[in-house]
Amino acid sequence: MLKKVLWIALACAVLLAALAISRSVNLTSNAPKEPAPVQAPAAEDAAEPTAAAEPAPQPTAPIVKTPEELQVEEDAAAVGLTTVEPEPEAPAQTPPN
Amino acid sequence: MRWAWIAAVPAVLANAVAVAQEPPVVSPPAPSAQAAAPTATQLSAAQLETALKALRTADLHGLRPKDYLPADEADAAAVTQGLLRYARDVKVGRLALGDFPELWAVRPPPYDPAPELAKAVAEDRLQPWLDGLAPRYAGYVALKRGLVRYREIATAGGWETIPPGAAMGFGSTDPRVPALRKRLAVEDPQAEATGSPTFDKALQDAVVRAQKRYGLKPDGVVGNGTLAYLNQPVGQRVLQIIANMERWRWLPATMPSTRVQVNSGAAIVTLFRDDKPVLSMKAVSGKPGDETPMLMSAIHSVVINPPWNVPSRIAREELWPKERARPGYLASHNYRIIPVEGGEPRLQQKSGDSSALGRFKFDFDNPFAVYLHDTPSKGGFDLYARQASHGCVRIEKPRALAEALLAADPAWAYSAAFDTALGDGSKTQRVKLPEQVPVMILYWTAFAGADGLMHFRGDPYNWDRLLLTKVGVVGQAQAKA
Repeated sequence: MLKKVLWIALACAVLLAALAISRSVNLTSNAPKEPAPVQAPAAEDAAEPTAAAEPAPQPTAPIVKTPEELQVEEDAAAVGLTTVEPEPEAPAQTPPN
Repeated sequence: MRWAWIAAVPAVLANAVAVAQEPPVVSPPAPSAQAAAPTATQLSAAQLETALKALRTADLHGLRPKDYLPADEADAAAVTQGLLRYARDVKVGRLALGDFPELWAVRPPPYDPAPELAKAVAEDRLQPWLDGLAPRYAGYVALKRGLVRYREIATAGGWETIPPGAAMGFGSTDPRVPALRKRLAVEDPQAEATGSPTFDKALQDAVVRAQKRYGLKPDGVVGNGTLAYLNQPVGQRVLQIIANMERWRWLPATMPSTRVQVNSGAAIVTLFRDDKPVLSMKAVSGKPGDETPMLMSAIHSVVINPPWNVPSRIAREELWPKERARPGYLASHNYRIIPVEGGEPRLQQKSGDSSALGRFKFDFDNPFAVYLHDTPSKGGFDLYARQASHGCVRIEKPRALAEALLAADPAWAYSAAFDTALGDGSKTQRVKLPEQVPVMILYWTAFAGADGLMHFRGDPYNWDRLLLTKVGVVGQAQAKA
């Protein structure tokens, strides 16, 4: 009888130990273990800078127009600049009640 | 039927207050309470003040406040009438539809401001309505700014006339050099009003800029031709700006994004695509007496190697006399005589390099039988006053325009297609555009250039003067002066 109890106790202890070991190595989880972060290549770092590391905006180079382009602009003014100005939006004359 | 109603608009305007109380004698449409002009009692005190402010500043649009302001500014009914006249004049101009000469075929649609005014008052949006009356085109807005500027110059005393004399150029020590410096500085912020008594590089540059602003040959030499432009009184420039502002009011509220625009006054053609100028060139427009009409139409075809069907007037007045004076003239210039049963024979010039139409013709419907075309007389584009045609518009780069207009047609997307079609000039081919391209022939003599300064041209057709006379800005006697 005592032997039986001891065997059962031993079996339980083994079971508990096995359970503890399995938890420690995460054998029950289906999710793959997250890989260790990989260092991004330097080029990608430059391509997608973080907000904190965003460099100051480069001054845009002035657009140099060719003499032909300048002439077209001059001529466009001479035939009548038909670009439409934004519609004026004024508030109503008296505030709504 | 629509026009019959429109014809009564002036009468409706003149009796705006009465209209509110009783139906107008014209119909349709029957005036609803909302469409009727507001009576004196409908204008609030704030609206009355807004109206008066607009009328007092009518000169900003080149109009005269006294034409709209009543003697008694507290008389709200009279203010309302003035406001209706003002609205019409700002939006569609002062020239009555019946007073348009035949060649001024760009005309505004009839406009009755009374319903809009009633609505604006009812919704308490009088100021926004007033703000939206004038053309919203950058060209008009720039003229408005120019008008303020040139009136300021006039108020400050204008500029002094420079006496005629020998041409002044780089290195000249002419005693008129200081006066020239001072004169140029009035209009050109880059020019210095004072400096060396010698005609130096800075002065030469200022002269070149001024010559470009006046459409003159920019050679930097001040001869009597350049002086004639410099000596135009500032008041003349103010009137020129007012005349051009008036013409802007005849245009539709919006333009098609792809279009060909011609200024016959400056003899320039520009193609706009997606509202951006993409191609421009010099032109030769009609000479005085054969003025190129103002019109709006749509180019539907390009004719490659067009023959020229000579208009009977040109045949009668120009070509037949040459044939009589020098028999064989017509044959030597490739004219065919086409008999017409019971009438004068017609003349047709064969297609080819020597054809008066050159190698390209751009057709659009219009009652004046004018079109854009190539020319064998390329030298005409080197001139700075280019009003020399019989009314058609000769263009400097016809092939570039044809290629641009036909770019969407796969059959014409390659330059080689044009080479083949042009051939030796003997084969005429009409090519329909995949989509018609609107064309507007306008007449501008004052406009703001890309440099932001006012540019002026002569008034080759005297249409500024005619317009100002017709709308009563200058008197008949002044017009003849």
